[in-house]
Amino acid sequence: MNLGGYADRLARVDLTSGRVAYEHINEDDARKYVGARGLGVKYVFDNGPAVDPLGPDNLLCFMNGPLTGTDVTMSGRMAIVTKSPLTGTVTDSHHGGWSAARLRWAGFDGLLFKGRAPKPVYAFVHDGQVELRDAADLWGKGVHETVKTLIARHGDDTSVIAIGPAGEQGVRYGSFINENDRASGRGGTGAVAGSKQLKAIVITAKKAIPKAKDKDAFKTAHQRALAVIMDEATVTSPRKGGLSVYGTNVLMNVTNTIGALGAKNSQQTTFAAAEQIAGEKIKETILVHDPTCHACPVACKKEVETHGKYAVHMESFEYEPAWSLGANCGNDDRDAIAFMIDLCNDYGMDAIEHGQVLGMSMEASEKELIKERIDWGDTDRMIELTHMVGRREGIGSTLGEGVQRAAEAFGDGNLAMAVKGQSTPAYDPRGLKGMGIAYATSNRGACHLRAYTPASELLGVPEKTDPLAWEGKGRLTKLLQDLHAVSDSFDLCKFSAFAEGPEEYAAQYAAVTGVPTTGEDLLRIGERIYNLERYYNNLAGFREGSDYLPKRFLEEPSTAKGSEGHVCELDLMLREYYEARGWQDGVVPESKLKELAIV
Amino acid sequence: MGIVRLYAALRARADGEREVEIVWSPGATVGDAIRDLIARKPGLAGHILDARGQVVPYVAVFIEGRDIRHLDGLRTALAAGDEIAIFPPVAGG
Repeated sequence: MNLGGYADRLARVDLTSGRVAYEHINEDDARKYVGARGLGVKYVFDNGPAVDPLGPDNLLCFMNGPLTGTDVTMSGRMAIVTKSPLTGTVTDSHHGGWSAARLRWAGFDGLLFKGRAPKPVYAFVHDGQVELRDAADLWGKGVHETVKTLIARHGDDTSVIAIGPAGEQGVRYGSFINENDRASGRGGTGAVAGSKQLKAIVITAKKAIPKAKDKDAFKTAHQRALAVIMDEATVTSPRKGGLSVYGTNVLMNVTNTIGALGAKNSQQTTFAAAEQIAGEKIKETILVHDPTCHACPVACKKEVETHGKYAVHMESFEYEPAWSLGANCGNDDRDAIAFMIDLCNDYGMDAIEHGQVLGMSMEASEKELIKERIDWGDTDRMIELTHMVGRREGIGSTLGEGVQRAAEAFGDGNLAMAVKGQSTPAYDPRGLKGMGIAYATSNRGACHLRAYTPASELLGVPEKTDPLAWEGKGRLTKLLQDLHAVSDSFDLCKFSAFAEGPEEYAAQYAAVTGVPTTGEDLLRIGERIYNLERYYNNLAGFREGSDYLPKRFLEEPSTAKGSEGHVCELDLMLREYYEARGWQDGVVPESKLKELAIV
Repeated sequence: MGIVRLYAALRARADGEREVEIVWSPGATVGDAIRDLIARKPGLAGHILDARGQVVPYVAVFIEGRDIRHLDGLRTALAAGDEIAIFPPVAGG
């Protein structure tokens, strides 16, 4: 392959036989789908939409993009792509840290796993080789002990991406955790690995930054992108911007202020004790350090230390789990939240879905749909249930099916705040309308990261829109879905989009790969990736009527200041969105597939 | 009279205070209240309003949870007891 940036090497691992085959990247695929999310979706598509997500035929991809591990700012992300056991859709989940860069430095663009190992194994990746090693001693162990053991075994310059007992036990929201705290949280990628008896990916590589195809152009493009990220007026500005100083949890107070912070399983749209669990309070009380990822000056990770009953030292006190295990469960105990996030990481399960599972169970308990007593804000009970889910014991076995299936088992599926089987995240669409259409049309089930409309509705990037207006949100969502599909395929941190736009991305991509590219070209690639995902889902059975929202968001008006009286006008936004996409009620027509050169 | 709530880095610029009580007269605007706030907390100068007296880009000012960019901007009229919230640029994920 003649494109710069790529290692031009993939490993296909057949876990059943233990054989590993190596191949080059097809250049046409790379030009059309870039890498990471886009190329991973292409491989999952080619593997067929009918596979059982927890069967041996499902494909599990660990993917880098052409910018991963380079000097491009925020280029430390890896995509895990597969068919989700939670949603039945194609899914991709990303993590930061150093494993992505190390995978590139070890000589790979991706690792593709299929089959089922006859006994537990881990993949040891180094120097352009993949070796399967015995993981019998690690099976059943938590993520933290697994990471510690494997780092001790393989030494410095090593990253460990592992599953915990949740993935092994088939918890449908079992996740991969990188380097102890960096979660590829959503979609149940850990459960897929558990079904294959694949415990971990261990990557050992020394720093070896790939060279750009056009070094002079790269220098200019890199400096331009870095300048906008460092600009003191932006949220990304190191040690000055809100994201850098307080982390993602800088959002808690603002979503609460505008009446877009769901509380008590979204029965309310504001949480009176939000301040107690917000980024400002965390910084005042339990923050001890600001870790970062490869090539990132922003350092949005927030390492905290708590003492006493809920003593823990961890580095993922993020907005999403702080909301799901906090406001969503009527819980304002920040120490307990930190403890539970870490527990989710150790079991290897998605803390967003888990908080929603607990919140839904609390409402089911309150409504006496279940005999178990689970009170709002009962942190000891929440921790007990977390252990039960991670081990699939008692009611934990039902809860481990995810919020939608668990609510249906309790007798009222409408208690689940979920779309396509995946729980909604921390933005109530009655107060941020764009999130409503973004959740409904996300190709991986409810998700805030397919189209991060709060960038526009709160911050004003790329332009300010009214969070309570539905007009234009369908078009905005399409634009952001296409843009994020591309940045996820580079694979760059999505937070770069708070400062950079398509033109900054295009200049860097062109300089690294040597492919002349405009921002418009990139958006076209993003559109192609988004349509391929949707086509896969259509073939997997998600047809007309599959883009919806929980009834609560459509029928129960907000009572909070800022959004009082509002519901989410999904039907109106869907009409606008489908028109912008050229889809027929959520289904990609043949003409669109041809127009985008998908078929 | 009403409350102005400050968030994120604005607190440190207001002597660590999270909220400041401001007295306003009938007919006052949010612009009047912010100028009064800055006069009392000079560390906020340049961080909410720029040299032309306009709201600094990406800074968000809310009255009763509504962003003034979708009301009448700094000319938005205040009612007794209104709560103003001011955020520096914030976003995450």
